[in-house]
Amino acid sequence: MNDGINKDVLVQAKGLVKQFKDKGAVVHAVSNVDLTIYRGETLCLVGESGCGKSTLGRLLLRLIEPTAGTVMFEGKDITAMSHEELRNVRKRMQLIFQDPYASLDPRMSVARIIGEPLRIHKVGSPKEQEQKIEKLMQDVGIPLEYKSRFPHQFSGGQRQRIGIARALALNPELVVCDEPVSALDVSIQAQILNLLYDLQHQYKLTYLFITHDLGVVRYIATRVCVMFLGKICEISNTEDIFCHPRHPYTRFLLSSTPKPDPKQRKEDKDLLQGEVPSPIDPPSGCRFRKRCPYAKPICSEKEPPLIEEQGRQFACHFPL
Amino acid sequence: MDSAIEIKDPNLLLHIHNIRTVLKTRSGEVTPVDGVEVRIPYKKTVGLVGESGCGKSMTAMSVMGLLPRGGRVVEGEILLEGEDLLIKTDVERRDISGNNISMIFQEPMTSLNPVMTVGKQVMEAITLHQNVSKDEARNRVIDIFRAVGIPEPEKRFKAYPHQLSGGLRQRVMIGMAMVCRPNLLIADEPTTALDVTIEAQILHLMRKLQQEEGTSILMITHNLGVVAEICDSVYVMYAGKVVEHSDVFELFDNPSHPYTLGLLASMPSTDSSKRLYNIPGSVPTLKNLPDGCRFCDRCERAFDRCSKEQPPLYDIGNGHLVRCFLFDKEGRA
Repeated sequence: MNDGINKDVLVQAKGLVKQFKDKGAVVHAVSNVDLTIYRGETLCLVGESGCGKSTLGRLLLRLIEPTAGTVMFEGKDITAMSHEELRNVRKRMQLIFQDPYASLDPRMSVARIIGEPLRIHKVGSPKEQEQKIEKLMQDVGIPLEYKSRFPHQFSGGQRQRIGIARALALNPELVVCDEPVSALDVSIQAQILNLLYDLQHQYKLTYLFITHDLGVVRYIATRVCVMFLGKICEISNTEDIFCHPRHPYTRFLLSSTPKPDPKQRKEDKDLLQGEVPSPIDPPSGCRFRKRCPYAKPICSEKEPPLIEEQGRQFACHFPL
Repeated sequence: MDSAIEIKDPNLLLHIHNIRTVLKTRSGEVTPVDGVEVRIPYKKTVGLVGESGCGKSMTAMSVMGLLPRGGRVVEGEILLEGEDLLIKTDVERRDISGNNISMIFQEPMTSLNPVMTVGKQVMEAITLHQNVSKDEARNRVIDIFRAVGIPEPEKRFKAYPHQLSGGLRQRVMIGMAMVCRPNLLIADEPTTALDVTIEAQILHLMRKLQQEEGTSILMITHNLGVVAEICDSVYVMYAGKVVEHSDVFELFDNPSHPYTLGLLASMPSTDSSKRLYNIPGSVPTLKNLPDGCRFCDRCERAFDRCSKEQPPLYDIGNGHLVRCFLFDKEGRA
């Protein structure tokens, strides 16, 4: 549903690696990831917990320092920037968080929360800031008379709207949405997803949308990047991912998602066995092989590279 | 208790008959469960679905006798094989429930004891309710761990909850719930905290255990996908009331209450990317319920009568019940 993206590169990550040290052990959260985000698109990062999708999102904003690799934002390497330079670029990239309860300061009024980025970056006069805050409140659907209310006086959905208004205050180019609707009820989730979709067009935004919910992916994504244990399995446009997945993991993710139709009840053969292996000691070769029903000896010996075929990328020795 | 005899249906394992549960809060009394009727036949899975605050968990807690302090069932009956649990003493009730009803919760980390090995915890469930030797209990724990798909059950017996993944912890919880062979398993959002591939495994496991053991399941969830996957019949709740009930196939083929329709249309599906419908507004708070139909402020099809009177459940055929005046054949304005 997002047609007409120009292939104008906004973010380009090369060889990104993030390792965390945990009591002497090394956690391989993100391993050698190359990723491109085009201007105006919604790229969804999807995968199960612990696959490194949130870590990757934070690396792209340099909210955490990569162990190795570079991130280019509008052609400039943000991993090599000083903090001073980074502050300026940061205006153009914002984050929306999962938990609308934890991400708003309980002692600040709504107007202060939304206006804080403007004050920090000294954008406009106090009067202009005031106008901007009102405009943002209207755009996200918070009534203006609630300006001096505090976060606890709002429902989860309204809080998420406030978080979105704050993220849009500086007219960013890129917004990283980290599970923005996972904590919300279905009827509220739909309101927020529709809002995010509308704002993307109104503000000409590029989204990196992190989620584990494939229904949400289908609705909002232009392209989808499927991750497993710190690696990219597959990147493709949304239609292809859902209709013709090439990586076995993608297919299992799709078949595992419960469908709201009792006539489509799953056959047991479509169940993915086992659990996600530990990122402390990832399997050799293909990281998915221990859960993969199609795994052959080569899968444990050689890591499948991310190859491109007919505009689609996937990392599998035996693609579907 | 004449009425108990009257409504006793031999096909029902549990009959939650018209219960009203009240809770004392700092700002007065509220009624999270207001006249709820749920029938759970033997060997069937019944879904109780709705958004947060609709009263689905409070209904389950009323059955379990686990209401928070200040909460009590003030009206109705909870009949387990025809016997009203509400008129029993606490001790009687513990005996009946302990051997017949088990419950699994959403968050397996907070419902397991962190300083006790998982094997010991499951063993406790056996020794508390049944008179068996330690060795016998231990063997049964290892058997049930194997049955719920925990790899290396002898080794996991000695593991502490934090050493297990979320999926394994939930398997331990299910094992603990099933080890006494309950007639009824109440599952409160059992897969909500899990990843989809693990969720699929757990749902499959529950279905398998049900077929093997003949357990009835009350599945409490907000996820209509889970309902479609596992339930035989469904109750949709909104603001303390059941608004729609039918067989699962009928519900998805012919959803009729505007709220159910709205819920289905607002679910993003992996089959389509069309714009989502959103139900306007949000759920009313229990202290601030509308006079008429509780959904009327958010309903696009509401008319005069909806804001004045509370609609009853209308039977629209084959036991499909809908709490909406649109289905009142005589009284439609």
